[in-house]
Amino acid sequence: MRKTRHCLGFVVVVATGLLVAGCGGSSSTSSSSTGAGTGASAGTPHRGGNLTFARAYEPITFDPLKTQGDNGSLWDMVQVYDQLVEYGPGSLDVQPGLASSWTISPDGLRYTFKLRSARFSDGTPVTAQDVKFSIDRFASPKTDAAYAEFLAAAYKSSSTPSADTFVIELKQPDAGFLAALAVPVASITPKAVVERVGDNAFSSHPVGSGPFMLSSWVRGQYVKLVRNPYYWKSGLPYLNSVTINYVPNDNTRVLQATSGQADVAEAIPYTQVAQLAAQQSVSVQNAPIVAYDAIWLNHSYAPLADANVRRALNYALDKSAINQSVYAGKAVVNNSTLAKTKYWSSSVPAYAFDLTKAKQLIAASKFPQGFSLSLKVPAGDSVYGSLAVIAKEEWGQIGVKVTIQPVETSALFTAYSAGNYQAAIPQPATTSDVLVPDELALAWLVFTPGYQSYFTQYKDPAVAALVLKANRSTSDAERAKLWPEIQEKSMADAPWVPVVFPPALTAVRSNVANFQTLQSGWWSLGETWLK
Amino acid sequence: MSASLNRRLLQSLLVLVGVSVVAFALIHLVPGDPARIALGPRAPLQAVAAARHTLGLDKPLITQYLNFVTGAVHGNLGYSIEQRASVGGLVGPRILPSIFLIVYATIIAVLLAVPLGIISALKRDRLPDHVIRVVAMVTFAMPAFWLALVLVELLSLRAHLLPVSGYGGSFAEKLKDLLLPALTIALYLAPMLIRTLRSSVIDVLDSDFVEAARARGLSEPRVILKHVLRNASIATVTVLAVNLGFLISGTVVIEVVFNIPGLGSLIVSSVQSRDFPVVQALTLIFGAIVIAVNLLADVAYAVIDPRVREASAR
Repeated sequence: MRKTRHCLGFVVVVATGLLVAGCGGSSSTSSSSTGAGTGASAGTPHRGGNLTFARAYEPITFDPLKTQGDNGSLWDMVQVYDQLVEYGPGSLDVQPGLASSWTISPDGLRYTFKLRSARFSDGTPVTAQDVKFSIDRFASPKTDAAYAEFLAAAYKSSSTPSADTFVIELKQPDAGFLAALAVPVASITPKAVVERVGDNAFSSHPVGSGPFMLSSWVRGQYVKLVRNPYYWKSGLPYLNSVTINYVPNDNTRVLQATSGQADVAEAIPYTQVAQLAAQQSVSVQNAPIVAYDAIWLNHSYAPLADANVRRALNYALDKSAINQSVYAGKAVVNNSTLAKTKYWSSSVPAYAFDLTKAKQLIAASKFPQGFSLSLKVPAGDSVYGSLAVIAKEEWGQIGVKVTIQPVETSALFTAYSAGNYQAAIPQPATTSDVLVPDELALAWLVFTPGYQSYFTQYKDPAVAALVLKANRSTSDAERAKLWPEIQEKSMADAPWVPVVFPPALTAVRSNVANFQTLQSGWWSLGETWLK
Repeated sequence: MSASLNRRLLQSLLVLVGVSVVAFALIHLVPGDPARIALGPRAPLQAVAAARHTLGLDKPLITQYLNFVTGAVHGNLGYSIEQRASVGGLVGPRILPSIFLIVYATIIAVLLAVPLGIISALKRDRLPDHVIRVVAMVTFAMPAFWLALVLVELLSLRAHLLPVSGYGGSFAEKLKDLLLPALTIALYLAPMLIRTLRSSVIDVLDSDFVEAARARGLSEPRVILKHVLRNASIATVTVLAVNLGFLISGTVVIEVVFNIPGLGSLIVSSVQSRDFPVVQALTLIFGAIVIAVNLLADVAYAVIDPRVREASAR
């Protein structure tokens, strides 16, 4: 029933960017919505109404610095806050948020942001002091904000040379830093309010400058957001209010979308997509988000230390068939050791299903007779359960005797992070709110004592050096060349078994217009309207 | 009666203590570190250790248990790790929806069972009896979640009579929103009541005092309502009381399927997130409710059956 999706990264904010001139990005891939009738910008926007949204996850806090990196909190909170920069629909680049423009010094160490004139939902202006207060707290190790140690590792200090200028100095260049400022954790909060009410009260009575403000919140039931009258994007949001109901049961969410009790329902199970899409008044949007499904391998288990064995496992898993049978054909076969972020390359081949090659690789390995392998999966998860059964069957054909061990979700990650596994799918879904590869690459491909390449023990000094080089590069052209190289080199070593890039499946009823899922996973509700 | 009530109260208290020990022990036997889960996969070890200390998880089990019980006695049920809120604050608003659902379901079940049980007994082994028994058997045998889905399909999605799930604001909205879940529970509960009532009524109908009543020339409805039903209801109340305990666990599934913000859906999510202060508190509350219902049933026998009153007065 309830799955907590842990974000691996940062997170971010809301969207409204269509009205902003001169968006700072070049790529604008259109989101591949398969739903009918809910396409972007269909018709004239209509102002007013309440959108009812059935969510699978509930928020725990509205304090950006107090989340556990859980999407229940993050994806609600982005509707309430702004960040300096933000993501827009269909784009992997950041666009102006509270900062109307910015410059980066040639050495990549100094970021100067020009702040726009905006107000918090209590009517007070957003000042450079508020921005400094928020970013300093986000980046401070004392705050212990979720993932700040990864996101803001390069942060040195900040200053406010004028009323509308905010400057950040870095210790070393970090090309992922700008994208890190777009995550919800880096939201801008009003200094005076936070200091007056204190963290605890603020987490349930937040004040932000985003399109909506929190009107009421009943834990375990719903969150009610209403329009922020001071929102700086003129005319937005269109909706008067959004009621986000917590509906953890998959089936109940589907029924609510079917009956019209919910206008939008997130996390539609793969098994119900076809049935739901057949309804006249409902479509199921299939939106690409930065998410990653793989079977992770522990290299400290002797057979898995052998690259030939790992390659054999990759060749012996039929990812296309899995996509069809387990993911209802809605996912994309995975060809990378990282999620499908900016700089992802389609030209790196995925491991094709090839049992002959797999058998040759096993024969050439140090374990030609095969070996036994325990595969830990989240108990009760039908997607990963089916995936594990297919892996058991297919790997059995190359002499790898798989034992599937379903483990209760919370115990599973504890075991996984302690290195107590051979192969595992450690948590229900891995999503990243940072749309550049830096954060995931630093966590997964560069061995650090605390995180051990996402607890796989994978070490490749050549790949790690390339990742650091790309991360510190100040040239976008160089990064665009390095990241595909990293993808190719790390894939050749097969550190784990990438399976698919899973999408976000969202049921949207036909009365809803311009509902869009951003690649970071959340939604541009500020631009959504009801017909 | 008061002596026996006191004895029953004392017994209940002992059972409650037992429940608290089991609740406390079970959640600690299951693997998974709550502090690690609360802080997320990337939290540094020092932060996890600090959280364990704040939550008292580093203390000996017996100390943790005593703290738990002392807190509970003072109305402090602890602090939810996952939700970062006081357990009392989380549980409080959840009690009413669950009670509402159970009472609503019980009323529907009784309204269904009493006439059907009597008809079944009076028309014993004839067509109405067979129909009632077969239908009751079928609804009883259906898994609750499946019966719920069938009802939703028929009454919500096709007939558009009722909402598929939810828990409305006003009393009237609640009555409407909770009708399907309450009916689902009632369709499980009613068959047991019908069967018990039927056999009790049949027994009573054969007894001497009924014949005596008839011989005195009382009308048949009066005989049934005044003499038969009253005597037959004792066994039914027992069955109802015993099953209310089961009902409380039965609502867990129903609350999840119908998205009702009650105690059942809270315990499901708390178990899954290993939020053990909440699980402990809920186990204790569920235990207390079952015990209270059984006590009430004892009192109810005494009211219905003078023999019980007299026996305990002695």
